[in-house]
Amino acid sequence: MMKNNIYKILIISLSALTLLSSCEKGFLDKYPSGTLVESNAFMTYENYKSYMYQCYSLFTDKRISSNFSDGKYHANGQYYADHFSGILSDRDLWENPYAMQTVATVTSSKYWDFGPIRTINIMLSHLDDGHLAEAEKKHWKSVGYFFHSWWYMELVARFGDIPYINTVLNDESPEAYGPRTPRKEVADSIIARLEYAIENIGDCSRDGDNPVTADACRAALSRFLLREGTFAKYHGLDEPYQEYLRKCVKVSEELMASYPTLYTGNGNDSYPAAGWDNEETTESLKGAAGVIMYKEYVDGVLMHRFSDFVHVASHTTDAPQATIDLFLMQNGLPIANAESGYKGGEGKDLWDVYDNRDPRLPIAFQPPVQAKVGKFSDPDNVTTFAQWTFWRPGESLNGKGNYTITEADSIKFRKYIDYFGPNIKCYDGGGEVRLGSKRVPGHNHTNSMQHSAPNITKYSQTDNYMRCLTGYYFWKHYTAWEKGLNKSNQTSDKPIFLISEVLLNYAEAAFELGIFDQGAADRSINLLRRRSGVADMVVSKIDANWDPDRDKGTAAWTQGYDARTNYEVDPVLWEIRRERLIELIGRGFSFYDVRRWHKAPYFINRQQCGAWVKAKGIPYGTGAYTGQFVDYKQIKATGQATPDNSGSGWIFTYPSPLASGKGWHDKYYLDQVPLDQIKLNPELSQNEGYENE
Amino acid sequence: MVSKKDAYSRKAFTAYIASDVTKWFTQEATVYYTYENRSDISVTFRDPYSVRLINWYPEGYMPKEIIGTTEDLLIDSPRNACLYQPEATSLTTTPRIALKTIIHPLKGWRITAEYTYRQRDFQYNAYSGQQIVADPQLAVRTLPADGQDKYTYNVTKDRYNALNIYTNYDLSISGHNLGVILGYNQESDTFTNVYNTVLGQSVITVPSLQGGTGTRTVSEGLSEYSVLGVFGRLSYNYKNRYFIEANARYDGSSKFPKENRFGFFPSVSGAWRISEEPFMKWSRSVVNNLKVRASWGSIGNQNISPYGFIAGMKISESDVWIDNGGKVNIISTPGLIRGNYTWETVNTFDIGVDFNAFRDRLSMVFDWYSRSTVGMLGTGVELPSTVGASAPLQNVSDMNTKGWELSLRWRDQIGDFGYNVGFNLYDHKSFITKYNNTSNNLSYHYNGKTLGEVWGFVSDGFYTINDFDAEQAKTGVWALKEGIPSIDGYTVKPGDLKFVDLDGNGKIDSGSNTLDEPGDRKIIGNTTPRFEYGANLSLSWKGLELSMILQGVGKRDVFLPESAIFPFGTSVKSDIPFTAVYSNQTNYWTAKSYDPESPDYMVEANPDASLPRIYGQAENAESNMRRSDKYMQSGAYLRLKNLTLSYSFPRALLSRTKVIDNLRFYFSCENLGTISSLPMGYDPESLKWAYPFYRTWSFGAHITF
Repeated sequence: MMKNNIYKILIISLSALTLLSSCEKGFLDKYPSGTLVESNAFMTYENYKSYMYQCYSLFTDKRISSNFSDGKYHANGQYYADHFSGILSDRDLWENPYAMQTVATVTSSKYWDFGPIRTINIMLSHLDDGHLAEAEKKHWKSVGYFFHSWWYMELVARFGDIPYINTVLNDESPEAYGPRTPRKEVADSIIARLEYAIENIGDCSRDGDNPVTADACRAALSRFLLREGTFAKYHGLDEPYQEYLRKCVKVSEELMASYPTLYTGNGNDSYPAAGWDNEETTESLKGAAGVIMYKEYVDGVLMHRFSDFVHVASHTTDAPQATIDLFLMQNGLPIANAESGYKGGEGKDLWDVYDNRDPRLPIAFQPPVQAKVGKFSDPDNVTTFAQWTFWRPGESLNGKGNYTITEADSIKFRKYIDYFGPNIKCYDGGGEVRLGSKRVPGHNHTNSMQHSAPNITKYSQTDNYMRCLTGYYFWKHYTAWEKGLNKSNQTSDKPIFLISEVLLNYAEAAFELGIFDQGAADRSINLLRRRSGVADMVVSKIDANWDPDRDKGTAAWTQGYDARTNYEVDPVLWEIRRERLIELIGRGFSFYDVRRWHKAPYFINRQQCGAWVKAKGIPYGTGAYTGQFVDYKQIKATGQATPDNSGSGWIFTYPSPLASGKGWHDKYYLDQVPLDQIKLNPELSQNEGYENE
Repeated sequence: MVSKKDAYSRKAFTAYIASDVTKWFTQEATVYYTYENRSDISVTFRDPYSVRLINWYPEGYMPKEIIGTTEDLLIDSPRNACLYQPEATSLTTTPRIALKTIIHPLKGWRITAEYTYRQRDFQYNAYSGQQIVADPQLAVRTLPADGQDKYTYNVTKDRYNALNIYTNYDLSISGHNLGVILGYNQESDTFTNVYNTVLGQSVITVPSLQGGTGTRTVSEGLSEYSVLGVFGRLSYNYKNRYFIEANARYDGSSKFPKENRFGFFPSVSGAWRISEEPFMKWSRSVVNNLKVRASWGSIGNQNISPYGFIAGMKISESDVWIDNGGKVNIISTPGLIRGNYTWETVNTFDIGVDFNAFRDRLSMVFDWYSRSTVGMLGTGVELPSTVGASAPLQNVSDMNTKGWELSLRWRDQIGDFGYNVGFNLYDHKSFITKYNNTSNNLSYHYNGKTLGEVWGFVSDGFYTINDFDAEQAKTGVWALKEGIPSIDGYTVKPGDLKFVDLDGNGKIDSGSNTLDEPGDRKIIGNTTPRFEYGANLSLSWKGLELSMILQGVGKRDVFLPESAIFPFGTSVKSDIPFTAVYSNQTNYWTAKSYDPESPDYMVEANPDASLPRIYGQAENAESNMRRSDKYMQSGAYLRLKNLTLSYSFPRALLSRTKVIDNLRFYFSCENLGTISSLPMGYDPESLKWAYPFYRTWSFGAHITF
């Protein structure tokens, strides 16, 4: 019995001891592996580089309208913002919320975001830790200042006064609950930081083969100075805008000296203004003339869908007649000028509209093309696929329009096929760059051909793809060479900073300072003119009657607005602004532009309409038109016209915003400060006009 | 499923050995091993559940004459996706060893030590393959594109150790029964994973990691946690009439920062078996057991991810920028951390009654409880955006649930015939009792919120042509008359849904999305299931037994996704033109005439339409699909969960075999049928358009040797 008990006690105590020893002190200490913390993440130059790479997403962040979006879909990307300014319109009856006052009340906003600011401030706070050499410190400080200012440029443009955060905050920081910093202070800080970056960024060669450089900082500064300077001037703000504009001229000149030539193309396209087209449709922009910084896309690694989208039904962007009318003639004259030689207008077809115009017009908006689509084995056949052939006189255009083709028609139908080059593959480009950018007739992402360009929605027989409402299909990103097939397979590089924008900044800033003479025009506007094949601007010839359609501050659709809106635009300034709207069309700049010029109602309140058409018997192979018509002449005079069924006229797209008592509201010059932020922080003030929401 | 690719097999092995090594030392060992092999469809060209563009996908093959190829091509329809996409296999093996040592040093005193080791190895292989398909737009597509075919090989390992040592001591002295338990517990878990994908197989028929020529993505992960604690229990009862018990636990977890690792969780309960009282003697013939009980206890919850108190900065590959033709490595921004959070405590207070009567034929159990979760972990504080980060994890909110449960059972045996009927009913309601949401923003929880509440608009019929200025309407200008509310962000037209302007500002909107200013919304329903019930019935006669289990929910408000209710319904506005109209969605508002010159212009043809008008493009469709009381569905249902028929051979017959002690065959069906008012395809328990619940038929035998 004793023995038994002793055994029992021994066994129990042994087990107890072994168990206690396994209860190590560190049993409950568990840490993750493979991650860093702030104390060891900022040790070397390479660490800073990896950390700051996150900020490169700000170059494709959709919230900045002039950015290419993240590349998967165009929608909400770059040219979306051009709808707000009335420059582009939508085929599917998507109304401009700024025209119809359907801008929803903002309870919470993705634009009022300081996440990138925090990321940058954390990096800046570690620079003095002592792990970097002096030059390296200055370099990363500059990169941080660049991105900090790049994001604040957008915040200021949207909201005006905005809290300026330059330290790392946490959930107990009083600065997070402070009032908005006045716009002027923020602008001065942005400028000071970009200037520091230009001076101190130094050698960028260790940052990769396509990093932020001093020139990128200069381009951003040039953009901001023009934007802020003109906004302050035309909105009557108390800011030293003349100083901003002088600095803009100076920094733009520095860039113009480093980038003396514009891109003239990658060699695969031989039509005029191919360089302007190829800036967005080239496989690699490395080393391209005039490209200050670009976003690289690589097959299998990072791809986008910009071009493929334009081939299919989902692309709904077109343009109203008024935008087409902005384009000059090839001889440099505005179409309304008596000596312009403009052939389009009432009763005319699209060949007349496009004839002898600025070569950028057919690159931005698909020109008229008619081809016989089907399977043929004629000798006329130009394609490797038996998919289309030229129309011959005497044949009847397909569709209920029942149009018999004349000799003259068969010549003009093939005009733009010969101009751009024929579509020889009629199918997914597969990445073969030799197939080039714009080729007609168009095809969708597979091998269905476009029967007719224009391909107008309100006709009874249309292809579902490459379709528009106004007759002017926005196809600037269209390429024949890129891989398509309804997916993100495309690899053309997209520009971030181009010297062409800097030239326009320079020209406008120079004019506002009163120093825009023929020399300035030759250094800026005329470089763009020569690249696109339009005659030079001769400043002395531009008088008050140069463009009869110029905005003289007396437009019927802006009469309810104050003098800040209804000022007369100087004839030369009008031409500079026109050049900017055209050169940068579809790149998301126009909404910033019309707002900083304080001219939003001029562009937005006027009723939009499409091209002139007849209900039946027009030379487009798309059948009978079933929509309504409006009188564009009346719109030009009064800003609005009621639609009718008179059998011919300009295509009725949208009703006039003024007819239902809507139209641009001056509060829209700035965005509403989100209401949930004000609830959290009552110190934040609201922007003018939004107080009652 | 049309293909055999959706398959599952499971093999399990169990062995249990118990041995009385000495009179006072017993050792048990259990070994389990399961091997599960699941194969599934890998997505090469189409997700079979996608309903996008569903109307346009014919089945079968596209004739070569139409598409211009030398052979007929496969169409990427859902059926072909199931038939032709390759398989993905998942293999899971779970060995588990449990050892238990029981020692009886003295009478009434027992020491037990249990150790469990469980390992779970998971391996996943999938290859996307490559198919040439035809799509309805007459494209010949190679999917995935050349060089984009993907081979995936993932391996995860989970190792779990648990050790429990406890000792019991029981003592009985003249009616007083005392019991003591003391114990120690520790557990640890380590989860590791390695994920590999490679693109571009050189030999498509024999995919492997080394055969890939394209981009390789490899990543590893580790997640560990451990807990340890001590616990004790003291129980006492007098003559099985008065019971009292007290427990305490002191637990620590690695998921919390060092200073806040441990928590103390006590509990106490008492019961009174009234039926044992002398004054209840008269009822003994009927009442077998009447017991009232009450308890209060607390327990800790640490069900959060393990490293929340460290502001980690992940290193990863990213395509945010390209350098040297490839992706770059980025270090991410650290989040905000408050290093002082700890266990969530759940306190439960319960009172209940147990009642058995009529020789235990009738039994009833009733409980009422109130459970409070204190210090729920969450990012409760709403920070202004200027901070640039979301709020840190903290013990920020409290929640309270009140509920009750009732169960009743009657069973009886009449000769060879026996039956058993049971019914249970339960219900609960939960509220947020504390939450740091000073602005009462409705996107987060707030003080006093009932969990599951749904905010929405109140429907007020449709806009009619009389709500608009008739003259302007003819020209396509839709100007509302005075007094008719407009909708924020939309130009409304006849046939659109109209809502009640609850805040009277003439405009339908969401206010500032707070409790005080919800705009024109109010609480229109609650998605918590209420009055859930179950019933079971079994009948037996000699060796034959039939049993049935029913289950259901009495009341529940359900809001189905847009595609279930609206024509062209989807939550993604840009996709509206690409979705379908289903046969139960055709009762939408239409006008007698769409011609502006007609006197019936935009006059409703069917004022009792159940759905708003449809548009050619997105237009106002998004406004009409917003959450409102008009499209609230009922999630109440009744389900026959199980029906089993079994036969047990009589003992007398089996004893002749001298080997078999028990033999029973059974045949059962799971999920035989459901009664619910939701549209077909939506299960009232899952409420999703996804892999459905199965109806399983099984047959088995139970043999004891």
